[in-house]
Amino acid sequence: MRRRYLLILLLIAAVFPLSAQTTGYYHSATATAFEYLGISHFADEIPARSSFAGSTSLGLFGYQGNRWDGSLELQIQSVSRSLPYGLYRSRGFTSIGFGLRSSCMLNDSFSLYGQLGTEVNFYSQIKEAFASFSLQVGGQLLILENPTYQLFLAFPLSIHLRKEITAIQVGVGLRYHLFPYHQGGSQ
Amino acid sequence: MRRIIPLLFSIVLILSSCELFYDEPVAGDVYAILVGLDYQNNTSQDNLQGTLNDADELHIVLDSLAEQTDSDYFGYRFRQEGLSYTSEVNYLIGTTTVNAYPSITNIEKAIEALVGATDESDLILFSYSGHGGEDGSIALAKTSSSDGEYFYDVQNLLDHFKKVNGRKLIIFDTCYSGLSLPVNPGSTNTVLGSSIDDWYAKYWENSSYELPDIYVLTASADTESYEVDLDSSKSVEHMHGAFTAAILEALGWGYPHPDVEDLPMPPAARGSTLTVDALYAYSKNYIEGLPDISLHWNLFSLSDYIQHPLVSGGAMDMVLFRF
Repeated sequence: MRRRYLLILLLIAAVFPLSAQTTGYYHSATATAFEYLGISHFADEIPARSSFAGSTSLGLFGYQGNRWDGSLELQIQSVSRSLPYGLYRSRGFTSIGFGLRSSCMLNDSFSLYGQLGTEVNFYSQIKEAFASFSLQVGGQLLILENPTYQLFLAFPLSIHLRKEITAIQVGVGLRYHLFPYHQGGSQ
Repeated sequence: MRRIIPLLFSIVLILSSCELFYDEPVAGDVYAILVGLDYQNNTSQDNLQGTLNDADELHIVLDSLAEQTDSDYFGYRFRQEGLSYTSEVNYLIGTTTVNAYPSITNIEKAIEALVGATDESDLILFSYSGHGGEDGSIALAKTSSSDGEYFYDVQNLLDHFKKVNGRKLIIFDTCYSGLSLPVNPGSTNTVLGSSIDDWYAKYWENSSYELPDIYVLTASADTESYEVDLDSSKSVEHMHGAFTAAILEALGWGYPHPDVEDLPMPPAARGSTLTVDALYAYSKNYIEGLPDISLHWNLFSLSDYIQHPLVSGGAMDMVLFRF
């Protein structure tokens, strides 16, 4: 069994050799799992209700320089209804929106990023929609890299600004960069 | 950074534990005003065959659900049946005696009587099965053959219910009932027609959302609603409003009827709770499964028979029963 895991690790290491420098235009895909903590602006039974959220974003167009990068992201998020408590539950919904994301590398493997976005949201069970804005900051750790791919482990902290609720989201995710027009090379 | 991340995680962890540290509010008694009219004493309106069944059977199933959840049940059926312009039944609601004939005066009196009888933890249900006007109003019972003022503005009804303590669910099984859905300050209905501009405009609107204590469930949006015969053998008619038939099945009162002493857990319940949204979702699926009245397409046209239930919007769903 251990031998099998070792083999998988070696295979991954071969596909993503570390310490390759990558710059240029890129596309990206991000998958993140969040805890979604909705703090209501109205008098609710409790100050905050907890839900879970899963988010996927696709970087339609991005550019990465030596230290900075920026991209336009299409993001889709699904938020569950809140955990059972009392005589009310907050409704679950699905969001779709756009965001602008930028990151700054602090060293060879760690970068900080920020993202501003806006979304339209559709409640899961009922036929109602609403608009929202979001702000996300976080750190991302480069875990695997080769001249055309990068894989990051991301730790986002996000604020979801809805009319009646402000939500704090804390999560963990994976972000993948693909450089189809690679300009850099291995160090 | 090493300090900030654990600090943020700690704050979120503390806040996300609210559900564990606060005492849960308990559900109180269940009150129901159930209105059904057959319009046999009103020559201006077509007779309806399922509306009295709607009121009668909701009464049975709500009584049983209240018993299952250890709540006391106070149910009041307001039936207009046959040619009479009054009812032989009188109810004592709180300290007020109200005749069970569903005229505007009696319905308003019944709601006013609840004002002193209920408290914040109680659940109050109001169901109406009858005709509806194209402006979203409801056709209550005429007090005489010459009475022409029997259409009632739903906003008046909701205003009366605002004075009643407790969580309130108002069910309208009637045509055009979606037009009486209260406008929500947080979200916009997509069935009645809205666009992305409306959603963003609402975000910036100077209106505030309060935790709602009135939810409205409607049988249709801006179209007609229909009755169905639940007896597939057609040997004996068992008519209901399609929407109330859906609600009844969602609550565990399908057809053929189960033993009232041994009602199953409501099929619409999720986990140990039954919420307004769960009731809505079940009803919507039920209606979509009715080939005569649901949306269906063919190559050249969209069916005319479209009944689309609606429910109040906003961020919160309300628990009706906890098992």
